[in-house]
Amino acid sequence: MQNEYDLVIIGSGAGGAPIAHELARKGKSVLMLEKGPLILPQYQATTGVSGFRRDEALSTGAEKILRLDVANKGMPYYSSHVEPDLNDEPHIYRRADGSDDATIEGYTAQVVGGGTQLYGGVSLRFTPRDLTLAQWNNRPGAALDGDPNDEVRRAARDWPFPYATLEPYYAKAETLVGINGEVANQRKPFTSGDKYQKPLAYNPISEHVKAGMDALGMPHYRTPLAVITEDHAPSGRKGPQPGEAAKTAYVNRYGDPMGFKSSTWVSLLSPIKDLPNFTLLPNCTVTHLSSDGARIARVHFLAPDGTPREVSGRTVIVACSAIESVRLLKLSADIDRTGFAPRINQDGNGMLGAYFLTHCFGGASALVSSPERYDKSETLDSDFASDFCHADEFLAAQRIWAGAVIYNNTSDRALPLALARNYGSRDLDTIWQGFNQATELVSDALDAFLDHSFGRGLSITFMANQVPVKSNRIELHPSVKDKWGRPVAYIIKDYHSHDVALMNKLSGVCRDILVRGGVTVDIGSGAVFGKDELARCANHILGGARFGTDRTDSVLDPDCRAWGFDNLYVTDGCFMPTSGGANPTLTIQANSFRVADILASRI
Amino acid sequence: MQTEPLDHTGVLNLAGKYLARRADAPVADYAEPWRFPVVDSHHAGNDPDLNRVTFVWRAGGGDDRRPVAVVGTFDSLWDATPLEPVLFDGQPTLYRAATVLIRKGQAHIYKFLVDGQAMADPINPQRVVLDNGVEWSRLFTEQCAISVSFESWELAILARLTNEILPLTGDDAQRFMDLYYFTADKRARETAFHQAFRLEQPIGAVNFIDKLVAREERHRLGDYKVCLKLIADVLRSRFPGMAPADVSKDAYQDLYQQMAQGKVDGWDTSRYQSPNFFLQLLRRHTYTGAFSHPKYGGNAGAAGWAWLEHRFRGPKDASCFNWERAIEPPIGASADYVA
Repeated sequence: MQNEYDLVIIGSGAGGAPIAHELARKGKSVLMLEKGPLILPQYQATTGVSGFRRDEALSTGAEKILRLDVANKGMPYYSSHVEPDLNDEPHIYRRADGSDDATIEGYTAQVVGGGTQLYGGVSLRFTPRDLTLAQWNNRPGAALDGDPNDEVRRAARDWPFPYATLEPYYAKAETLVGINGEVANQRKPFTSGDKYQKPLAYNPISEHVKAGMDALGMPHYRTPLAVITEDHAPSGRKGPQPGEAAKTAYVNRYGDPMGFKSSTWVSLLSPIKDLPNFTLLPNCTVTHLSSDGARIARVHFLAPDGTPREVSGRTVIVACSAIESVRLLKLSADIDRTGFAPRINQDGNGMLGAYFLTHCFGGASALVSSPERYDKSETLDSDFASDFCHADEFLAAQRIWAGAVIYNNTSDRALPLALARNYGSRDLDTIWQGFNQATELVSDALDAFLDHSFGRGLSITFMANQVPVKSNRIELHPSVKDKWGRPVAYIIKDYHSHDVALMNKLSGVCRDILVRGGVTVDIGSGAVFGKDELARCANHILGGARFGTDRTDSVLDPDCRAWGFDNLYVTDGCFMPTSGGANPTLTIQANSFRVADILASRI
Repeated sequence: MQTEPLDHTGVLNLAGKYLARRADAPVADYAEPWRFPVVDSHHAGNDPDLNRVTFVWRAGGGDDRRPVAVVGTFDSLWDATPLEPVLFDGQPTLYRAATVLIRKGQAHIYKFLVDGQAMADPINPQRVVLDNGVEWSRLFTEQCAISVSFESWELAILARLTNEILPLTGDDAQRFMDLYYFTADKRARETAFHQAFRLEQPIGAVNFIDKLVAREERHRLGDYKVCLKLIADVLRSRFPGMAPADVSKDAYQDLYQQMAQGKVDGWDTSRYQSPNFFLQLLRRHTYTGAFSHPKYGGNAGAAGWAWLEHRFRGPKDASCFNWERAIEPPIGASADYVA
C-alpha cells in the first residue's frame, strides 16, 4: 500500500462508489476503505460459491442477547450477517421516556457495497418539488395541518441547486448502476432520456394494487428497481437467463449471490477493481481523521487484525452512512479539540449532527381473500408505484408540506420463516416477538394460520419527507463504547406533529388502494413506528451534515465540501437537507456522480 | 492433510468482524465465536458431499510467531496440518488459517498444536471432555445427524414436543411425508432424512435444535437441559411407571397448554422460572428447524418446504411455493445458483 493517494474514500456504498468509479477511470489514485467484508457474487468467487446465499438465516440470524448497559439489556436481537453486531458497535436511541435502547436499522450494512447489498433496490428519483420545499411552503396561502406554531414553513429548506442540475446525474446513475423500470407516469422530467432496462412481468398478486390505483385515478408505473433484467454493458454483467430467473423472494435484506441486484460492488466497483490506480481495502475500520489547518492530513484506520495504520489523501471523502459519517467526524473533533473540532463545528454553530432525518414511513397491509393465493417467492421487491401524492394540487388539498411516492411490496412475507418472524412485529427490534407470544398457533391452529396467510400478504408503502427539526440529532453516546473503546453514535429523534398528520393521511391513501383493489382481509394501516418507537430510526438514515449555501445553516457547501476544510467531502445521505419523498439511494448515487465531476476539475 | 488454497479475504471477512477487537479484550468478548472453525460450502469439486472447513488461530501479538497446526479425527490424529499466515494487503496478520475438506454429516474433535503444545481451539466454544478427562474442541459439518447436545431420552421428549407444535401429524401430512421419504433419492435417505424418521420427528426439527444449541444459540443449551429434566419429572410424577416419551398425545397436549399458560402442576420454578418462556423458545426453534435450509440439520430432504408447497395451493391446484427453482441442486433445482 502506498502512503498517499489522490483520493481516500471511506465507505463503499452509494455515496462513495460513484466517486471511486469516476475518478479511478480518470486515472486518479484512489484508496477505498470499507469496514465490512468483501463478499463476491458467485461468478467472481474463487471458491465458485458466493458468501451471499438464498438462506433465510442470513437476513435475520439466530438469537443474540444484548449485553450493553442500556434499557434493553438482556433482550434478544436477530441481525443480518452483514449488519454490525449490536454488542460490538451499536447505535443507541433515546426513547420517549428518556431511556436508551440499542437498535437495528435494517439497511446500514457493513459490507463492500454497503446498504446497496441489502436494499430491495427501489431506485426512485426525487421530484423537482422535493428539492424546493422552502419555496413551496412559503407561497402565499400555504396552510398545513398539525403545524399550530407555523414551524414547518421555517424549517423547510430548498436544496442549493434545482432538479435540473441533478437530472443528468440521475440518468448517469440509472445507466451505470443498472435499473429496470418505466418512465411513463413519473412526475419527474427525464430530460436525458429513458435509461431503464425492461421490467419483468409483475407478480399476479400486484394486479390488486394496479386495480386499486386505477380505481382511485392514480397514474402508476413499474417501480424502478436496481436489478438487471438483461445483460448490462457498463458493468459487464450477464443478465439473468431468462430474465425471470432474477425473481426470488431472497431479495430485500439479502445480498444477491448472482449479482443481478445492482449493488455498488457489482455495478460500479467491479469495473475498476483491476485498475492499478484503484485499491480497495475491506475489513478496515477508520478511527479518525487528523488535520493540519484546513487540510485533512491523515486518515487513521485499523487493519483487519486491529493493527493501527494511517494514510493520506489529497482529497478525503467520508461516505460511511449518515450516522457513522457524523460519528467519525465527531470522534475526530473529540481527539483534536483545537484543530479539527472548530473547523468541522464551524465555531460551535451546532450543525454537525443536527437535522438528522429519516422518512415519514408507513402504509397498509392486508391479505387477499381465499381461494386466491400466489407464489410470492417468484418476485422482486416491488411492482407498482405512483407519484399521485407528489402533485402540488394533492399537497395543497391535503394540507401537507411535501409529497410521497407510494408503492407496493411483493417480497414481504413470501418465505416461511419470514411469515412467522414478522407476525405481529413492528420493526426489526420486535421480530419474532408476535409469533413467540402467539403460543396458541400450534398444530392445527398453526396450519390454519399458514393457510390463512401463505401466499396472500400484500402491503403498500409510502415514503415521505420528514420535517427537519434541529433537535433531531446524532451525538456521541456519553458512556456506551464500541468494541474498540470508541464512543458509539447516539440518536435523539422525534416526529413533528405535522409528520404525524401527514403519515395519517398517506397511510389512509395506502389503505384506500388496498380496499379499492379488493384486498381487505386483516387490513391494517398506519405509520410504521408506534408510540414506543418514536425515537427509532426508519431504514433510511439521512441528514446530520446537511449542505447549503449559508455556512451558518449547514455543515457542507453545495459541493458537499465541509465548510471548514479544503479537501474534506461528505457524500452519503447525511448531506440531505430534506429527505425526499422516495427511497434515497438513487439520489445519493446521482449526487455523488455530481460531486465526482466537481472533483475531477479540482484534483 | 492436504489443504485447500487459502481464501485470505474470506478469512479476514469473518475474523475482522467477529474476532478483531482491542488487544486486551478477553476471548469471551468475541462476537459469534461459534462461527469458528468456519464450515462452508465446497463447490469446486464433483462431490457435493464435502464442506470446506477453515481453522483460524489468532496470535496474541505481532511477535508471536509460534507455529500452529491442527490435528483431529477428520484426519489421522497424528498427522498435523499447519496453519499459514493470513495476508492482508500482502502482509501477514495476527491470523493463521488452514482450509481442509471434510465430508458433510460428520462430527469431529480436534486440537491445535501451538509450538508443539496441544490445546483446545481458544475461539470455538464447542468442547467435549473425553472419558479420560481430556478436553478437545469439536466441530460438525452440514446436515449432521449425529446428536451433539442431547441424550437419547432428551431427544425422545423433544420429538414428542415438536410433534405437538408442527402441523404435520395429521393423516394428510403423514401420508405426504411417507411418500416424500420413499421417493427421495438414496443419498437423502441416508443422511439427516433417515435420522428424522428414525426418531419419528417429522422433518428433523429436533436434529436442528440439537445443532442450534451447540453453535448459534449455545446460550440456550442450559434452558433445554434444565427444562427437559423438569418435563421428564413432571410426566413421571403424572404417569408413574411410564417413560416420559411414551405417555399419550393427550398428556403432551395438556402439558403444552399448561406451559402456554405459564402454570404447570409439579414444575419446580426454583429450577426454571417460566415454563412459558421455554415453550416460546422451543416453538421458535421448532418452526425454524422445520423450514430452514436443510444444511442446518432440520427440514430433512427439504420435506418442510415440499409440504408447504403441497399443502397450500392456489386456484386450480397451482403451486404457490416453487421453492426448488431458487435453491441450489441437489436440494433444489436452480439452473444457475450454487451454494
